[in-house]
Amino acid sequence: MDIPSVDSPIWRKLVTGEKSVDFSFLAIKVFLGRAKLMIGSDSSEENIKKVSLELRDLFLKYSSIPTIQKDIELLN
Amino acid sequence: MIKAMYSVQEVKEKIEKGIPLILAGDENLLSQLPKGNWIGGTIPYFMGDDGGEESKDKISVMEIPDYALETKTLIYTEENIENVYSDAFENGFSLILIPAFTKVHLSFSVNAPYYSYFASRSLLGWVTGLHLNDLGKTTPKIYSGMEGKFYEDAAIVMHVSLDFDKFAEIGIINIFNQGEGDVIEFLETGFSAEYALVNGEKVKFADYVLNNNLDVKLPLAADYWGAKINVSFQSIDKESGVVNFYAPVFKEMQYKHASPILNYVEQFTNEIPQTNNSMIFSCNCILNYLYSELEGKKTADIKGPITFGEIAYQLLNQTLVYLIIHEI
Repeated sequence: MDIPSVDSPIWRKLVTGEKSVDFSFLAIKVFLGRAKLMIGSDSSEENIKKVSLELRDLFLKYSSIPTIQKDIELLN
Repeated sequence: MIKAMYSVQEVKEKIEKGIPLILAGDENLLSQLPKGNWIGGTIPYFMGDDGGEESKDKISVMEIPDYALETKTLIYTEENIENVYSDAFENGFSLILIPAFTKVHLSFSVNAPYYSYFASRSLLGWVTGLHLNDLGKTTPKIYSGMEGKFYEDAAIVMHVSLDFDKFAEIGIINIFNQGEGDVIEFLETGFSAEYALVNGEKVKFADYVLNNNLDVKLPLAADYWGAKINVSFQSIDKESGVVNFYAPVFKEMQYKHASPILNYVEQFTNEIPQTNNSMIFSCNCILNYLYSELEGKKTADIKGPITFGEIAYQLLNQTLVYLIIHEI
């Protein structure tokens, strides 16, 4: 399963809380907590893009881990 | 079944063999150990080989697996704790021990989610403590085996490097769920709160807790996209109206009071993952130990220290934290 591109709207929806998904991988869940804190304190477009990119990078980093495969499916 | 609790002599032999170790025990025991590649934290409560136990005679031992490529041990204060993730190896895990009630404990607890590389490096560990009868008589400590000394005001981390065919996954078991009650938000991030927004209405939080007879043995739980992150009640100061917690509440998060647990051991055991012995570390919370009366009880084959706070990327309360190494 491919990870959506940088331009996919899914990243923005996830970090802004517009879309809520019950992921199973703990690192992703706590990162989304971080996203909420960071965007709560700075909701500029630039910061949303930065945090969105960090989230995608996290999925890429962990993409070979078996337990994250279900979470990747939830992105598509 | 892997043995978890050892005598001082047995631990000395492991240190002399050069095995990197993460240790938990009473300070009188840790103080007797020779220099070597180990770190330790004070606590006399454990999930031991025969179940929950209190001991000032035995040390809980986690051996770093022999397939680890490299270890490095670093000391952190509130001045440099923000580097704890960026100092970690690109692939591996980092095990942190932080003395309770210290500046570095407070700083990490409030700020960890803002640190660079948060969640992209596997950091777990626990908050060191003491026997509850010794509160006010001594202090929680961490030990640096490399230096042969202890610290009361700094955290210690053993960063462990793994080959890229392995992956260290941190997991948690939190049997508490959000109840059906009010949505609680806080006006400030911190370990205490005077006011809160309850369903959007500003209230004096101590009055709210007392007037609604909230069972303070049950934590506040936030929902992090399916992971329940607890904040436990420490005390309520009726005079000042301030409620104190064992972990920070975050301004941007929504909390609910957790629903009651009918049988901790049974519910907990049901949630333990099947790992084929790949779980190499776990720790559980002293509040679970006390409130669920775990002394003498077994929670499956889970062993390790009973702690004053658990760390899975960030500080948690009333939660079991574990580490599994996957082959990939």
